[in-house]
Amino acid sequence: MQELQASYGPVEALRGTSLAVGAGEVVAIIGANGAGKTTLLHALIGLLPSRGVVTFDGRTIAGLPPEDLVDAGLVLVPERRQLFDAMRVRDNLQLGAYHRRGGRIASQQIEADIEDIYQLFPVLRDRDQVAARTLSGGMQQMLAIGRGLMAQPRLLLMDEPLLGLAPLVIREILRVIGEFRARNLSVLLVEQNARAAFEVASRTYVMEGGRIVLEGPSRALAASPRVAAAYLGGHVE
Amino acid sequence: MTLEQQIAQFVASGLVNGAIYALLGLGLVVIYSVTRVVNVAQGEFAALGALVAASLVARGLPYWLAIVIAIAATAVTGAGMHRFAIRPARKATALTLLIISIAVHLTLRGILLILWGTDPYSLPPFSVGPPLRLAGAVLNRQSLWVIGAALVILAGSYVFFTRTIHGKALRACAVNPTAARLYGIDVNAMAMQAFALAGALGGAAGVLITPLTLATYDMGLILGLKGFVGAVVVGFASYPWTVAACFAFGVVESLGAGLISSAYRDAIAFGVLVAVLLWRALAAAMEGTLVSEEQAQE
Amino acid sequence: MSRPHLWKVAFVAALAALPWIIAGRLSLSIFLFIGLSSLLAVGLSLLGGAAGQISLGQAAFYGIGAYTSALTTLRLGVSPWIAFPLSGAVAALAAFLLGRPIFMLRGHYLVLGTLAFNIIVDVLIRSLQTLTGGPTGLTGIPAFRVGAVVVAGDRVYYFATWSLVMLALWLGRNLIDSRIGRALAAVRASEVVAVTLGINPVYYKARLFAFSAALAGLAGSLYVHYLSFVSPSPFAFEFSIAVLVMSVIGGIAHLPGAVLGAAIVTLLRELLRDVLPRFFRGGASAEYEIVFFGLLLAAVVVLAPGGAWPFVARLLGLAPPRPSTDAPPTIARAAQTAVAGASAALDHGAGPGNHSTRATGVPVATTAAPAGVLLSINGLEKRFGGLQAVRRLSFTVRAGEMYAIIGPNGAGKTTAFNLISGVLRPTDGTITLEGQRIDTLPAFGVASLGVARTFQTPRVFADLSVLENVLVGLHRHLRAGFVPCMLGLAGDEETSATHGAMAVLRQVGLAHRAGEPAGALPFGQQRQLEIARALATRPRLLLLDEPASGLSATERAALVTLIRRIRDRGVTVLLVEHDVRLVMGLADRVLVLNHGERIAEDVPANVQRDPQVVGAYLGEERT
Repeated sequence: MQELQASYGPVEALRGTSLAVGAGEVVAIIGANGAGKTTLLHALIGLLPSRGVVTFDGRTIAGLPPEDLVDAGLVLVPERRQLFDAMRVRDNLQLGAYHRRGGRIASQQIEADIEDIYQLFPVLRDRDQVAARTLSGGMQQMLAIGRGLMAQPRLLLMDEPLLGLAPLVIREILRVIGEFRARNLSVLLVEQNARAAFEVASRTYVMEGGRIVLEGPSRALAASPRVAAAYLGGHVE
Repeated sequence: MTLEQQIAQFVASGLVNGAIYALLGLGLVVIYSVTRVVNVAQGEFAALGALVAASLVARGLPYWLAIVIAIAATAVTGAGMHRFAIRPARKATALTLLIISIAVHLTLRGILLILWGTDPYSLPPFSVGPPLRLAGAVLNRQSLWVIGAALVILAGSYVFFTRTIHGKALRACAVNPTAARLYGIDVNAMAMQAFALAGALGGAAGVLITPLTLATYDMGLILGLKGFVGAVVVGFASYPWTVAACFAFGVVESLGAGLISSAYRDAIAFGVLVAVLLWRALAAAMEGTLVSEEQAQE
Repeated sequence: MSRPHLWKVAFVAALAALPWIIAGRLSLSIFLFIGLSSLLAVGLSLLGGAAGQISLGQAAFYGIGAYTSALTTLRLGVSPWIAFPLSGAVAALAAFLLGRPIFMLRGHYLVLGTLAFNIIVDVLIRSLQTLTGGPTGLTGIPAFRVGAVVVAGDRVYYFATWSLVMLALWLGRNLIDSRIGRALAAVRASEVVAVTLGINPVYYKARLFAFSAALAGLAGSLYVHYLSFVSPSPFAFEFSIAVLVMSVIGGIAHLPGAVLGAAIVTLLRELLRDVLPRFFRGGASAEYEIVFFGLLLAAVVVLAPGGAWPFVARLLGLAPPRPSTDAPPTIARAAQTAVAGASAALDHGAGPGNHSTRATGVPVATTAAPAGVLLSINGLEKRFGGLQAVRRLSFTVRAGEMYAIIGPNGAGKTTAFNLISGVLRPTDGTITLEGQRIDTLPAFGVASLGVARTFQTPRVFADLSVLENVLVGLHRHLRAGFVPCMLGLAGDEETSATHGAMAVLRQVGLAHRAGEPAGALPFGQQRQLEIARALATRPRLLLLDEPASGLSATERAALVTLIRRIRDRGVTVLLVEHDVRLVMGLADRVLVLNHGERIAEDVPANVQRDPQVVGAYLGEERT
């Protein structure tokens, strides 16, 4: 059983947050800008200092740097992609698997995994040798997700993957995320786009001002008028 | 000698110098791209490599072994520079890092002086034989060795950076260090390796050039500064273009010194550097933006 | 008399008495050379501390000054009294021509450029033998004359040099404490922000560089007339490095440190010259100095990066020295003016777009708000590589209106702001402000036309006080130039500027925190400070980037009141916001962006009902 449990003390913008993700679950965190969602992910992955208890698969991981967490299976697909934009698509995917490197068998496995990614995102295959920065927004996001998958995560943290994308691309990415459950891959999804988050996540947390203010099954929250109000008219009191 | 022959001669010797500048320039750009440090001590790696090799050869070691040890020594020195001078100061301002770089340059130069004194040292040519005639120019064998070896090293570097995961990881650190960390790349270790690589490239340059011109403890600054020219032309960005620019600069310097006056060689070389800086400034002015796009997106 | 004053007087007295104290035992010339080196080091420290740039060319400017003086007096018969200032001017000009382009480049190109320049100058001096006398140099340089009396001798030059050093320290200190020093502090804190406040970093850095070169040039002139001989050897780049060592040892952020460093290095050099030949073969000993100074520099950087001056100051019981890297001491003044009362500053003052020299007050509406279009965006496009951030965007903003831009994250709103304020260049399209194209202007140019902005996360200058932040905003309306600032003549302007800044702070409700460092303010107040700073520039057009994000409900209410008041004073406000309800209550017209494209533009009520807008915000409908 995989479980990510986090309770944070004060971390600049975070104030005593607690949440949990189970194996094979897709859990979403929604909230307005400045609510602290990205800060939470950065703290989890070790980019920001934090206080609190975080257990991953039974191990305490709070305070570990990102380089170590990748090995444990905790991978972040950062906000705004953060691709190696001067490098090629294939390079980006190979680098996603950096911590797996070593030996011929590993290399073959990595090459096979790249094939898998191209199956998942066929448009990337044609752009194998192309510099990442020349890709459109949607393709860059696909590449970022692909790179994350190459790291063989057990829990994939995704920071606003749908930011600025066209509806068709959003649909495509949501479909892909939906398939993760079949791979027994857990996802913690941070999104501004509430409707999309409800579509793909089984449980959702709502953050505001660095705290979690609502949580529950996505279907229930989707019907809640409080959430609707939060988005079109200010904030949840 | 006809004018054409003269020009061919200048071009040839320019390519030889250009090869040396390319090795140094590549080292400079690798360090800068990964660590944002302007390595004023790059030339000292060349001097160290040359002097170590010279001493070992004088003691009777086989030539090839002396070279290997010399380059290993410069690689270690490079790594050491990072570990002891740069890494402790990585949170410092760019200004402080620059001053540290200058301090390392002076210290290394001083150490070279203490250990080897002011005498010039020599290395035997890699192979003996009569000079060759190529396209109107007379090239001695060592010159061909320099160009050949440099090309091999540069080609090897190219393969390293574009085909091996390790080289790609190094570039990744230069392009996006945060993302690199997220995928398990140890940016600090990579930075040290960048310095070690630059050290080795510098050492190789020193060893290659010494059979043609003698090695002294202070040969580093001018050489390193000339390596900068190619890097500045390209704005410390692309590795292959830096190499190309260094070769081109070597030829321009040689033509200038040959056709105008050899006494002014350094003035011409650094005149080119200043001219390149002014040209880049003009380009920046035309472009109009004072800030980079990344900054604006913060 | 206070401690620092006592020590200053003691120092000057000791300096004055020195020639007699050491008469017969030590040569005065070494102290003279310390003085000359101090001039070079002070210039370098000023550049390094205030502008954050290192020059390795001081020796070259020293040489340029020296040879200018030597050649004009020797070959052209010019009087040394004229040659002296001329040397400074020529060095300054050379520095300006070299530096102005180089400062436009990001990164530390100045080091490379000045080092290269130094080598070029050295080679030229040695090679142009008929002109410069080559390596052997020139002799018989005419001396200064007063009437029939020849001015010569150690003592006269000693006093002349040190008077110049004192003057340089005074001018430098005044500059750091002036509005120019404050602007440079802002540039060091955040160049992007400083530029949007109308500060042109290159302008100030280039002139500061010229000043530091002028000091070196004047030193060169004195040197040459003292010795009545000139040769290339003192002007080689090794000396530029030595000057750097002097500055760093003394503490590059402290001007007195430059003098201290010059003394330490010169005296050590003399010591080494006596001691080293006993250990090393003669002739090489000069080279070994380099070893020593390299190690010394390394040691200082590692062990005492701030240099020796802070220690000395502590030893002497002086107050902790204020580094030139800090902003000027406006705090004391602020305390006075705060007491001086509310005053009518709020009532008078210039209207928007009126660049009067009275730096008081905030923009006030003129009786007839100008109708008509203020800002016009046409066909704006922006690509980043493969990403199309803004696409075929066109809209106009009328003068005096409150215009809002909304849209989901990633819709291109902040990019649009960056394009308007000149921080980014459009890939295509035009932006005009009252008919004048601004998309081709650099950001400080756009700011000087009356466009101010705030940022998504408040970017205050954390190490400057609240008041100083606002004063930076006022910067472009102040007039004191380099020379008045250096002479300390801008006091009146600073006082009235402080009045004006306090008035702005009162407007936003931050006056009570004027003296505190901006970084200590809580988030909401940093936002207010950022707005105050933007208001201080007296803009015609104010761009507010998500001003409400991260604010509590009460803070939002206060913000709305503030924005309304700003608009009532005649400032056109362009607002980007996520909080749709807030926008609906404030704005006259709303533009909706999605995927970098305009999808609606109308009055708030209509936009709120538009199904496309609702869809864009909540995400696409489920299948």
